[in-house]
Amino acid sequence: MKEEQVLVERARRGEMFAFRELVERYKKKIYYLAYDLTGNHHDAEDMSQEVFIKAFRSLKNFRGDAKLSSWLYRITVNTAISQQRKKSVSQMQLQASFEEEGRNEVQFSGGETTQNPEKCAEAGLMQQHIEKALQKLSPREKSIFVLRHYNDLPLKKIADILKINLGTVKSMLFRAIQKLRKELAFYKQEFL
Amino acid sequence: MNNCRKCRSMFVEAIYGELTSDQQERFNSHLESCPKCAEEFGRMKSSTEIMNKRVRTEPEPHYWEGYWDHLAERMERKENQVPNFSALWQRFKENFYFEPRLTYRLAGAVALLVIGIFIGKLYFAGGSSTDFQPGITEQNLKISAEQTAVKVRADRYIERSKVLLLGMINFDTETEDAYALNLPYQKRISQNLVQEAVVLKNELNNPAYEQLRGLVSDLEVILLQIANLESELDLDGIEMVKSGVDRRGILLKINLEEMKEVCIKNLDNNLKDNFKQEI
Repeated sequence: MKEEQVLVERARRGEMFAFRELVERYKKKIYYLAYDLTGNHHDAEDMSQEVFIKAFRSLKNFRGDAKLSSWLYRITVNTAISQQRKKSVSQMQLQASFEEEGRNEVQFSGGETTQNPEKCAEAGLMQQHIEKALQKLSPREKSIFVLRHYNDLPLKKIADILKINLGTVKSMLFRAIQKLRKELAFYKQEFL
Repeated sequence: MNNCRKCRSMFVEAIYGELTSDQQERFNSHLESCPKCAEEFGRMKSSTEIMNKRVRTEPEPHYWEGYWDHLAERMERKENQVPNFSALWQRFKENFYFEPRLTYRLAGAVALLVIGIFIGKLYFAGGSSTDFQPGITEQNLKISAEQTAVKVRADRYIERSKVLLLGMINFDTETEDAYALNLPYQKRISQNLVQEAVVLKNELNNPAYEQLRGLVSDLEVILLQIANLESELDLDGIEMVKSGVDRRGILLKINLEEMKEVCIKNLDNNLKDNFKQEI
């Protein structure tokens, strides 16, 4: 932790080597969070880089009392919310359908050739449904859900990252799961 | 635990194993005694288990090796970018997209300012009341006592609707407890207002009240949406109502109508003063 503070201090003074070291430490975490929030590699790559650029520009505002990882998570979530609001619904739907088509192609032609093609297609379809269900959540609900569910952050930490009450985190997560339940209702008999 | 609501408030923590052992014990014992909560919890847990089946597509290993190079390249490009008007505008837009409510408030404030300036010029530019362009005002003075009574009722109707809508617009579905809104009560009031709108629309048949009639119709649609909200937790429905109010510019129209009313009253007073002076 102390070493990280030194790196932050050096990066704040403009030392690119120190900033690179920080990027190397957090690039995967930020990329995966961006991937969970956007649902595709292209946007995740773009967003994660944008996050590091924003972080570099505002390092002077970073107070040492919070963890660097929490601060980067907050920038990622805010960037995702802002970008999602910018995109019109029609654009998002169009892009999502292209992405899904692309992803399916990769998955179907990927390393699952030993599996039953029917099962493979079924799994691909399920991935589509899951992504679609995630897209139905509001930007804030989605952020909280992916932080808890896919990035394994405790509820208290999510509240700290997003600077909201723990109660709000719980109620939004509750609502997110309820929405997902509605969206994926047809799976309950088949898979569980 | 004697309360299902308390139990439900623990669902999320129970799903993610964040309950203390004491809480977990109380939670489990409630589920054993309450099949409804147990069923609901089971359904929610199943949904999260389905979400576990999501697979992230991993990037190629060389992607990570070149990550810094791509980032550094992009940072350099941004650094060398000369800030132009479109970039500044983009940054301004980004900030306002981030907080859309602020955008609406700003737009509303600008619109009110423009209207205020327009009305101010209309009143104070000429000095004498004879410079006014009476138009609608004269027509207003001629309308019958019956129509005046309808107008008064319409104003009251708008005032009541405005109070109801403001409560809903200011309610943040993402951060506030839905129970605090008391939706069943709001629905009941909306039902009454919808019934009243039907009568009012028929009575506002004077051409001078065309805009007022339009506003009552707009309000009727929104109030009907509120009256038809499903339950206390129909948060999507509330968001739909809020976006409907924004889209139709209803609060702005109400403000305009109120300002028009103030103008007419001031104009009446000016005409009376003039009349006294002439005498």
